[in-house]
Amino acid sequence: MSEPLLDVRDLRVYFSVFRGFVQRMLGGGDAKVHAVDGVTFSIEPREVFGLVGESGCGKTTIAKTLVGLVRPTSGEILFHGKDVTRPNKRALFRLREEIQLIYQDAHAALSPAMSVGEAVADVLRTHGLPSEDGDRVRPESEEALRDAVYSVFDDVGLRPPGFFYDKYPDQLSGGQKQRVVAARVIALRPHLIVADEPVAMLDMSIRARILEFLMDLKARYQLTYLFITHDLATAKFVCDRIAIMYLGRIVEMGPSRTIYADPKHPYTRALLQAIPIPNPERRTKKVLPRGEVPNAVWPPAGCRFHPRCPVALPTCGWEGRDFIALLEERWLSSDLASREAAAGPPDAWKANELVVRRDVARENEKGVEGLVKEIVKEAGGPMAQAVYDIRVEDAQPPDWVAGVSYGLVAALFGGALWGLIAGFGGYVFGIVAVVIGWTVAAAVRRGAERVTPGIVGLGVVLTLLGVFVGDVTGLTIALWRLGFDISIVNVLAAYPIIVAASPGQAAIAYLFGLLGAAVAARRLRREMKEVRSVVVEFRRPDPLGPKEVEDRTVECLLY
Amino acid sequence: MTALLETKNLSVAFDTPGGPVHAVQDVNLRIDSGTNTGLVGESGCGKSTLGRAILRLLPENARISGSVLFNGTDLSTLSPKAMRDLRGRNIAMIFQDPMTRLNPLMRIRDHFIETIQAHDPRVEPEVAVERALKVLADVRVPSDRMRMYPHELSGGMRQRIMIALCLLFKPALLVADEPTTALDVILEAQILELLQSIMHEYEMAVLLITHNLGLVAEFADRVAVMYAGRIAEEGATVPLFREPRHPYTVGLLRSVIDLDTTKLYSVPGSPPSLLGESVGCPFYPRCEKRMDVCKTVFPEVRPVGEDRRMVECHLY
Amino acid sequence: MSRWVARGRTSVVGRLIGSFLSQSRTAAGIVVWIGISIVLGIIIVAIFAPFLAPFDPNTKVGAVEAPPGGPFLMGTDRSGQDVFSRILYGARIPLSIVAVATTLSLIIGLPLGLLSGYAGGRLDRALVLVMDSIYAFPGLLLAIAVAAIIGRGILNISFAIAVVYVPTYFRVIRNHVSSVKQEPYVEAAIALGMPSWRVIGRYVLPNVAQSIPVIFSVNAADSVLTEAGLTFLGLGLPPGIPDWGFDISLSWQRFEASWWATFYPGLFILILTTALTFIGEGLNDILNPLLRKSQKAAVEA
Repeated sequence: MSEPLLDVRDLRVYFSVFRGFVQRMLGGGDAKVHAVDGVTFSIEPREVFGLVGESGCGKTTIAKTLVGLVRPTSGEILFHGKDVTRPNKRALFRLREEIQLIYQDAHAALSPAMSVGEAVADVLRTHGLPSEDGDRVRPESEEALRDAVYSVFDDVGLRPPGFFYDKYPDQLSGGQKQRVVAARVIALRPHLIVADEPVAMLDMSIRARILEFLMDLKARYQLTYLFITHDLATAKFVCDRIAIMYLGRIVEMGPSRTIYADPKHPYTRALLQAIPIPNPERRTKKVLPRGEVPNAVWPPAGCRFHPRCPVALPTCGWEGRDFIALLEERWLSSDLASREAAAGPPDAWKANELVVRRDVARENEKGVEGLVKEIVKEAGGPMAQAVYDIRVEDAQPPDWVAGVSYGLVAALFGGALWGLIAGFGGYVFGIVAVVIGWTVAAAVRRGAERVTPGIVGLGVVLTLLGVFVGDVTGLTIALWRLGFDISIVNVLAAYPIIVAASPGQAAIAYLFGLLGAAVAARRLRREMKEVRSVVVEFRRPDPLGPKEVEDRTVECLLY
Repeated sequence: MTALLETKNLSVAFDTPGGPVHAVQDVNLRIDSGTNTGLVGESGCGKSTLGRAILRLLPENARISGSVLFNGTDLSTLSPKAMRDLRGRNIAMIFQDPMTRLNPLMRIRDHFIETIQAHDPRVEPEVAVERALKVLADVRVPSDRMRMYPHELSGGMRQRIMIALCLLFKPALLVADEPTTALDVILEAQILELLQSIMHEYEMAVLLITHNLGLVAEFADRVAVMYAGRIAEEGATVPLFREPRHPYTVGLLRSVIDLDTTKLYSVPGSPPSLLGESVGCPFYPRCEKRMDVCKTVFPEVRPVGEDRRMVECHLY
Repeated sequence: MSRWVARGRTSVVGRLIGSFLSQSRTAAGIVVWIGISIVLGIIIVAIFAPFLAPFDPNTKVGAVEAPPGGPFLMGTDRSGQDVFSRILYGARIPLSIVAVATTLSLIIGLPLGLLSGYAGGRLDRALVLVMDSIYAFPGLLLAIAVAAIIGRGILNISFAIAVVYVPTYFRVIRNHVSSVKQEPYVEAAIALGMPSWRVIGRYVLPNVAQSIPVIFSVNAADSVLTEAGLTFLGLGLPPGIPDWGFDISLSWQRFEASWWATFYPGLFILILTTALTFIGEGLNDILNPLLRKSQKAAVEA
């Protein structure tokens, strides 16, 4: 039982999505793109292992992680039995002599300012020439280096090598460029080559040539390939084993021949069906999955494919978001949309994992609940069966801290405005805070998704700021009215003294501000009592993991 | 029955610093209303240029000769304003990359309003939105996408919106230039299915320009195979695929890798440069069945078989 | 290492020169040739001034403010010195200062731009902030400020002027490097195990090099004016050395009486600036479309 060349265990690669400061505070932390979400596979020496999937499934990320361009978030990568998950600089340099990458776009992978001969020579200069015993030696002279490049060019079919050495990428054809990219990689005598869509950008009439060339290289140099593609037909021809990926996970993995003969996972079946066959006499009616590949930042629960799967079960992972998608799809028809308008619009619904809710006024609650039950019954299917309960309950406790903070933004302006109009000091503005605050808070209370310490802090800061502005403005106006010709800057400068002079008044002003905000929030809470929620709750999905089925691994509850 | 669109000896050459590049040469193409025609060829064969020539969307250095007749009218006789009117109203075009074709600074509904008002300034925005919603429903896009910006939508959604924009005026002909090349295979199948259903509902003819033979086989009634700016072979899809005549078509079909491929095949050599004048059949250096006459004499277009099957080859 | 960097650069320089020569018949090419000829002419005149000038520029050789005519091709100034001889000798200072200044700003600005664009992050943000602040200053004022601090002398003025133009190099190079950094071939080079200095020197620099000659010439043109401005204001040069800007400062108040003493130095400043601008703009027209074309060729291939 030989050791696999490459062993990947539960690899996860997440990328942070940059979110603005305010969004992060309100939305709770950084969002992550789950590019690779727990992938396990191994590659035997000398085999061609295919990684197949549509764009966004994570296959390119895996490629980049294997050659060290991207750091994995967690998991293990073992090469020749050694752990190379997080190599240091030295180890990475050595690793790059053994695992290399062939790019999809051969032209873009070559520097336009360098001749192709130089591009290969540069690699040899950096790593040294491979010698017979596997070590690397410094090239002794420029001639030796050139000869080495010539011999690599010869190996990849760029003959005469002298002719090609001085050519620049824009002087070569697509197939020639791909050979140069291969030459550059072969010069290092790697053991594993990751080929990322090597023929996708080439015309059909020359694809075969390059594929044959790659297979020829494999035989001559005893290479192992990780062949990444979205083209199932090419993968079938070229690969010994394949793994089908969807949204960061492997859904089916096994010997290439049997997967194509008998695809088990519904996604694999969908992919195979979707391929257009160049034979007009065999046009078949296709059963295509609904919709598109969803966002990798919030992947669907349970089986990631369930929202689109034509044969999904009730236990496959139905959740709140799927209900909203159902409504959207239903209401593409305008008379359904108008008949069921009371339950809409779709963005009135808020999903939170297995639960999705919609606020409704107390007097309408029975009507809307009934309508939702009708809709679910009429829609039917596995999703309807996954619904655990449809009910009405009190609206969620108001996000009153958020309400406070928003209310106080209003207080800020209210205080200044009041100071302007009345010329009174800031402590009167607390009353204004109540009036303006609850209006604005009611309007924007949907803005925050979660209460975080940030929001609380913001609320307090805004309160104090609001009082401050109101107070300063009020004092300034008051002084103007008294006939003093001073600017607001002077008042600002003198503010500490003024406060020190009458700390009690200042304290009252600030406390009034906080009180006003609290009153606004309570008002909000009371108002919420009039609001109820229609809730649709889904059952917990069954746990999902890769299962051994016959000669392969499948991740699907059908098995 | 007059053809919906007919080109007669259409040629397009580009003036470049290195000389004239003959992107399209002597093309006679005919599209009947309500039919699906596939224009197939590899990169650089001139199919995109031909598509744009029909809509007269070519860059400044393009020299067009020959004629394009739409419903009997020669398009070169139209004023620029009349041509603009025709474009969008009677002939519409969708492109490969939907992201760059939508204005990133405009919401979707503004795209619709603007398009409608460009052709019909008297239309009120509310009415325009009504029309837009109807078309959006036909392409299965939920109405809440109207208020979004293009970057908030997925690729497939954007392509559907592009199609919707084209459908606003019920054009008689839709030119689709590689509409699914940038999309994944399942999405591609969905969009093509959508196009098929729309075609029937809107009684529209479609010219599908692509390098993917499978798409053409699934979708088109007639196929035209282009090579080096010329139409090498043309005919109804089923007979053409069953019995390709032109050696290039034969080679192309053989080199397609599909699920039944057991042996790889590629056409030797590479496509010729379109710069400057050329003599003889452009496929000559790569042709397995070449003869001496092919080197010096342009093959004429010859009919073979029925149903307007044409080949441009000395073998026939 | 420098050898390798140089090799990458010379082949790029070779290609740039080659592509320029192949375009020399076009309108842009002709413009460049005109510019080059004029600049070369002025350089030659400056070098051979001792042989070409009829008089010593610093001695009174004729009547004060004599109009052009006779032995005085361009008349005399208010000290009786021959304007023509002063023009010939006066070419030396601007040329040398501009040459030193633009080279200095290249030497400073280019590596900083490369580093900043490639490294990104906080270093980049800090450097950009600094450079933008310098850039925001009106050039002449900045040069005056620096000259006032570091004192007189040809090298000092050169340095003062160099500071003004460092941000231009920095910005253009840095922006170009930032975008080139995203290109697949840079990523490929990293994946092949190239150390950073190699990636910058061999893969990034050659691909941003085509911006350099253009900035160089445009900066040179602008620095002629800055230099003239500095010497006009009397800063930087020990008095008595003939210099076009300085000469204008000597005679502009006497414009009605002896317009020629002001006019000719001004004219030559204009000619030199325009010639350098021709070179810069012409090169821009030639080199940048080539970049775009090779990118387009890639797309169509």
